[in-house]
Amino acid sequence: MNLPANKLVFVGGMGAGKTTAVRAISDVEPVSTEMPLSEHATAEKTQTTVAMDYSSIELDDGELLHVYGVPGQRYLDFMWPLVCDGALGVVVLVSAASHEPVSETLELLQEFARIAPQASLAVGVTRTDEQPGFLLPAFRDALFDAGMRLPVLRVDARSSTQVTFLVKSLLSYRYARDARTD
Amino acid sequence: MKTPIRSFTVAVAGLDLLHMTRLKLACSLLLSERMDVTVTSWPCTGADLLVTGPAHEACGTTLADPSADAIRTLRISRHAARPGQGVLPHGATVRDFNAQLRTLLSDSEPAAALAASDTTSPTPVLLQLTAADREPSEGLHLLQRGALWLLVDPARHTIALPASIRLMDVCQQLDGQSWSTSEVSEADFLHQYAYRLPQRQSFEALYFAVGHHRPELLAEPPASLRLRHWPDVDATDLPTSWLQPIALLHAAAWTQDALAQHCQVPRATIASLFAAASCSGLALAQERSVPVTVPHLDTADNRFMARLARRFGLGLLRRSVT
Repeated sequence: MNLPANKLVFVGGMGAGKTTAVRAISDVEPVSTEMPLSEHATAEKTQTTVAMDYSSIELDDGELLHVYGVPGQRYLDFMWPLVCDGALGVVVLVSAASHEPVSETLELLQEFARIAPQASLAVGVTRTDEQPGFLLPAFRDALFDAGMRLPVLRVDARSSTQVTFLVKSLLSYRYARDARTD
Repeated sequence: MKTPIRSFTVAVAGLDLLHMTRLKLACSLLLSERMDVTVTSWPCTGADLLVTGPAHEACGTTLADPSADAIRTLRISRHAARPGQGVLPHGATVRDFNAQLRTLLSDSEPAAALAASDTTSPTPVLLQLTAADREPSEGLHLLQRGALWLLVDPARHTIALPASIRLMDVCQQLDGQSWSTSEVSEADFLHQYAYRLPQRQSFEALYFAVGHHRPELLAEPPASLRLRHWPDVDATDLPTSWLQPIALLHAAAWTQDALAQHCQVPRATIASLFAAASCSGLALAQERSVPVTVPHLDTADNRFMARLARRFGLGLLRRSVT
């Protein structure tokens, strides 16, 4: 029996807000693999995810949407294909405070488009409130110039409303994609 | 949805301690009606209302200036027997002040002003400065209305605003007549205003917020279009019902009628979306829309997708869900 695509994956670099985003939209307390940071710890971030976050969202018929948060670091890329098998969507989270937000995002988008061609992709940019110099349209246009035309939104990973809005955007985008090509 | 807090500045001239105290109390009571009033001394810029006392030596001059600036006035007069429009008797109570302030400040609200004005009311200054077809300029424009300050940065296509202000709040005050504008240099902005205006929003985000909250301020939308990019929109300024139309316009060109029918949303909502897309420069004009089919629900993926959309409050695939 073919199982429906029933996974939603958040991926991003350290401090992008994956664990926080998964927690913000989950029905249950996520299973997390956070460990204390050995270096680069700040007052706001003292822990980092060393494997993945997992949680679920229950639908009205009891089915589950499985929600994963996976680190974007290359040395953990062995788990990406496993997690993305059966994913309907992949949200790339990137911090606006990142040194190279465009190249960091592009690399993940290209990699996950290859690993999970069936999944729809979207980008959430976190911490924009701390970076007044960050301009979302310019960031989005740079992704477009590199061949990525997809939803790109600012998001506060702590806010259930905003993370949910990002997921809704992804679902709407996926629906429109299927409507166009069906 | 709660009405946003609107900010006003009330200037005072020649008020004695008794009337000043009652005025301040009346102002603080207005907060319960989501009107945040700041009291300051006259002369000042950006006041929404001037309150003058009976004993002020320069009363004549004081009243001449605001008249020239079209600022409303409230006079405390020894000759008035009872409260009237713009006049309070000497010894007026807090309740009298409160009633007059509420009336006079409410009259200057955008919605009221719009209803009172004809359809040829001028484009709000903020929308003039952020128009997509405006000549590119390097200068920074500082805007003030009452206690609200904004900065328009045409080179970066952004506006800077206070951390606590949402675009919805800005939309509510857009067509006030008492906006003042001045050009400032980058250095002056960084030195004097940047700490007050730490939040940046793109022109795109502004226009989509205006499209949702004040669509009547935008130019007539085109009949059909396609979105060049996914717009810079935010959960706090846009309802979920806009997402499906945005996604479909992102994928293909649509006419207003076809999109409204397909998404089962009011045509006025679609017209607002089209207007926002057009004014923000995101619209790709299309001669005709592309026929779009609804995805079939006979696959497990689509049935799951329909249930998932319903879980998130989206109406995707609703006609096919069993």
